[in-house]
Amino acid sequence: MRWLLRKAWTLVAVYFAYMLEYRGEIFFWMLSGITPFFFMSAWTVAAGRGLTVYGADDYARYFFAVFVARQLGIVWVHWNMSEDVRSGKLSFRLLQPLDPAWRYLADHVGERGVRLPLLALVGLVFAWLYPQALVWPGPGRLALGLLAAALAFGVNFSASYVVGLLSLWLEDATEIYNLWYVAVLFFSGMLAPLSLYPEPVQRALVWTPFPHLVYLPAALWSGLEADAARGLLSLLAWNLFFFALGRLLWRLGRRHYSAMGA
Amino acid sequence: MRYLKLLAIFWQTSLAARMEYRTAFLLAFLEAALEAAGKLFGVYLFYSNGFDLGGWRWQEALLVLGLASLLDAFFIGVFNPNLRRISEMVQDGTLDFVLLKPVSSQFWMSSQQFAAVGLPFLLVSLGLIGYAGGAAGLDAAGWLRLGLGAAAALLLAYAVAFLFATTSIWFVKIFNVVYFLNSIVWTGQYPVQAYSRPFRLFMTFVLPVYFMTTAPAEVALGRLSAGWLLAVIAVSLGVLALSRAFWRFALRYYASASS
Amino acid sequence: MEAPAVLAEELSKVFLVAAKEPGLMGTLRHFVRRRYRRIKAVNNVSFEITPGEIVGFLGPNGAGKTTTLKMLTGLIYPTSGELEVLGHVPYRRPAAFLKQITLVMGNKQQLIWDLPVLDSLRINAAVYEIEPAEARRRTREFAELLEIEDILTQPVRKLSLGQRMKAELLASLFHLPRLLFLDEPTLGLDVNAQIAVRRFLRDYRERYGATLLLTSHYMADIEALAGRVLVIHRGSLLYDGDLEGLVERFAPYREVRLQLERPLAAAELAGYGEVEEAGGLRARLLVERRRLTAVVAELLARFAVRDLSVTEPPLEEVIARVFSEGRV
Repeated sequence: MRWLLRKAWTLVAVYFAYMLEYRGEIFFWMLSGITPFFFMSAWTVAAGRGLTVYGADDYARYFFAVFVARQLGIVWVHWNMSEDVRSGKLSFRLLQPLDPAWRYLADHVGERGVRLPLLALVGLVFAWLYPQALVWPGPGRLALGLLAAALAFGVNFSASYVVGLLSLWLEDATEIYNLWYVAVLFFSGMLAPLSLYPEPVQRALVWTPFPHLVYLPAALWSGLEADAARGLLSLLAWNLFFFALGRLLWRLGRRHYSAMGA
Repeated sequence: MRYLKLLAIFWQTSLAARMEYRTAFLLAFLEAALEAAGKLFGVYLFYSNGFDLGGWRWQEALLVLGLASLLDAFFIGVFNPNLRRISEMVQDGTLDFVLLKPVSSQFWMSSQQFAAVGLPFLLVSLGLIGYAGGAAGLDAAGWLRLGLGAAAALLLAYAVAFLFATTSIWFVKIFNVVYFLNSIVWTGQYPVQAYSRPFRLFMTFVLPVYFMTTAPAEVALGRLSAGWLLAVIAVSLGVLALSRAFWRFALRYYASASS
Repeated sequence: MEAPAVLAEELSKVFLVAAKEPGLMGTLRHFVRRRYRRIKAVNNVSFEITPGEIVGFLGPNGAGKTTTLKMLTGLIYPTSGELEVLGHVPYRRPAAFLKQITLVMGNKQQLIWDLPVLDSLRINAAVYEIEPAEARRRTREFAELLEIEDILTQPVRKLSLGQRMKAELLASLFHLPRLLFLDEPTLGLDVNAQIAVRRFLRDYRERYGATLLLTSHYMADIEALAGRVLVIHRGSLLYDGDLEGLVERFAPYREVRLQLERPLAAAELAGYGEVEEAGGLRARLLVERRRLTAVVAELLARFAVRDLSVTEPPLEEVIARVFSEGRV
C-alpha cells in the first residue's frame, strides 16, 4: 500500500513536470476547444429572437459548462500507445514491473495539473464577459457534476486505451479513435443541449455512452434537466465494459507484439 | 512545372506510405460520412426549431457548410500533416536538409505530405457543395464565382495556417496550433450572420474565417457584388505574401538558433 | 549444480511480413490484395548460460540477435521452443522476474526526453520499490563510476550521445539486476566513451556478481568483456564456445613476416606455408597454427633472418569470414 501510493505520487509528479514543459501546447490545445462558445453565440442569437425554449443566459451557462466538461475529459492514450508501439518504446515499458496503462494514466493526471490553472484563466475571462451567466449550482449538483466528469474521463480513457491496444494488430489505430471522437462531437451535447434534439434521437442516444460524457456534467452544473442517477449508472457500466475489454485485448495483444524496431 | 512534378512525386510516395494503413483508409470513409451527417444535423437543429442561421435559407446555409467541409478536407489531407512536420523538423534539425535543397523551402514544407484519409472528406464536401449549390439555384456564372471564391478561401486558409506554423521556429513545441486553426475553421460552418456581433468581428478581422466560408458563398449567391470577389482574392493573396515574408524572416532565426 | 541463468531449447520465432512491390501499381495491388511472407528470425536455437558468465552474442545485422534478446526478456512470445530465464517463463512477465533483469538498447532510450535524468530515476525508484536513501546511494555510486555526477540535473535532450548512453546505463541498472541483456550498448560512441562503458560493466559485474549477455558490432567490446561467444547467422546458432576457439576454428593460420639478410625466392619458402610475398629482402607467409613453432624454429635455423614477427589475423576479419562462409 505504501509503495502503491509512492508509485502513484512519483509518476504523477514527474509527468506533471514533463507536461509543464508543454504548457504552450496545452494552452493552444485548450484554445482549440473553444468551439462551444461559438455555438453559444449562435444559440444566444436564436434565444434573443425568442425562438427556443431556453433563455440567452441558460445557453451561456450551458456552453461554458460544456467547455469545462470537455476539457476535463480530454484523453490521448490511444496516441501514446500507438506511438510507443511504432517506436518500440513499449519494450521499455514492458521491461518494468508496472503495467504500462498506469504510466499513461499518470501522464493524463499530471497534465490535468497544468490544464486546470489555464482553465481557471479562461473561466475568469468568461466570468468577466458574461457575469449574468454565472449561477452557483449548489453543492449537490456541483459534486454530482464532478463525479460525472470523473466517470466520463474514465470512459474516455479506457475507450481510448482500447483503441490504442488495437495498434498492436493494426498499423494505425488513430482512425478508429476519430470515429469515437466524431460521435462524441455530435452526440454529447456540444452542438446544442441534448434536450433540443428530436425525441427519437434522444431515446436512441440514452443507450450509448455519448450523452453522459459531456451533457450530463454540463447540465448538472448549468441547471438544465438531467437524469443524474441513470447517467451515472450508465457511465459506471461503460467504465466496466471498456476496462474489461482493455484487459482482454492487452492479454491477446501482448502475444501479437513484435517489438518492431526495438 | 518543376514544382508540379515534385508535387506529383511527393504525393505519390506519401500515398504509398499511407496505403499501408488499409483499415485506416476505409475507416476514413465512414468517419467522413458520419461527420458530414453530424454537421448537417447541427444545422438542422436550428432550422427544425423554426429558426434560421442569420437569415440564410436552408440550402444556402448548406453551401457555407460545404465550403467549411472542403477546408476541413484540405486540413486533414494536406495542411495538418505538413505543418505538423515543421515543428518536428525544427526539433530534430532535419529542416537543414530542406534548406539545402534548390527548391523553395516553403513549398517543400507545405506540400511534401499527403494523407489519403483526406480523400473521403474531399468527396463528401464536394457532394455537399454540389447539392447545396444546385438547390440554391446557382447559374453558370454563380458556379464560376463559387469556384474562384473557394480557391481563394483555400489559399487563405493555407496562408493563415502556415503563418501560425512558422512560429514553431521560435516556440518548438507548438504543433497544436494547427488544431486550433482546425477548430476555428469549424466555426466557419455557420454563416457569420448567425453569430453575435463580437464573434462576427472576431471572425472577420482577427481570424478571417468570414473570407473562407461565408464570403465565397455570398459572392456565389449574388448576395455580394462581383467586386467583393476581387476583395476576397486580394485578401488571400495579401495573407499569402505575408506568410512568405514571415517564413523568410523566421528562417533567419532558425539559422542563428540552431547549434 | 547451480540452476542456469538462461536455458533455451529449440527456440524459434517466425514473423509475418507484408511484401510490396515498388511504384504506384505495386501500391494499389498491395492495397487490394496483401501478400505475406513468413520470416524465420530465430530457428531452433538452444543454449544455456550459467550464473556469472559474460556471453558475447555475435552475428551480422538481421541475424536474429535482437529477436532472441526480446524473447529472453519477455517482450515477445516465442513461436515455439522452451525458455526459462532465472527460473521464470519470460513472457509471463512476473514482477519477481522483471526486477532481476534489464535490457539496455544502444539505439533506444527510456529516459524522459524533456526532463533531467534524476526525474526518470525517481520513477524507476518508485517502480522498483527502492527506498529513497538507497536510491540516493545508488545514484551517487553509479554516477561516480560513470563520471556523470554533474549532468544528472540537465534535461536529457541537452546531453551528448555518450552522456546519454551512460545515463541510460545508470537508469537500466538502478534496480541492481542480476541478469543484464545489452544490445549494442556502445553503438555510435567515441572510443573513450566505449572504454568507459566497458569498464563500468566490468565493475558492476564484479560488485554485484551479475550475468551478462551482450551483442555488439565492436569486437573490442566482446574481446574486453566476454569469455564465451554465441555466433548466430540467419537465425541459426553456428558456434558456442570461447573466443580463442572461434579464432582457432575459423582462422587456423598465422602470418609470419621475415626481414632477410639476402633475397629469397618464393620456391625456397613454399614448403613452410602459403607464400604471400617473397623475392626481395622481405617475405610474408601464412603458416598453419599447429605447425607454427616448428616452422619458425626451422626458418631461423636455415635462413639468415634479421627479424621475424608473427601476427594474428584481426578478429573482425575472422568474424567476417565466418559470416561470408555462413557455416561451421
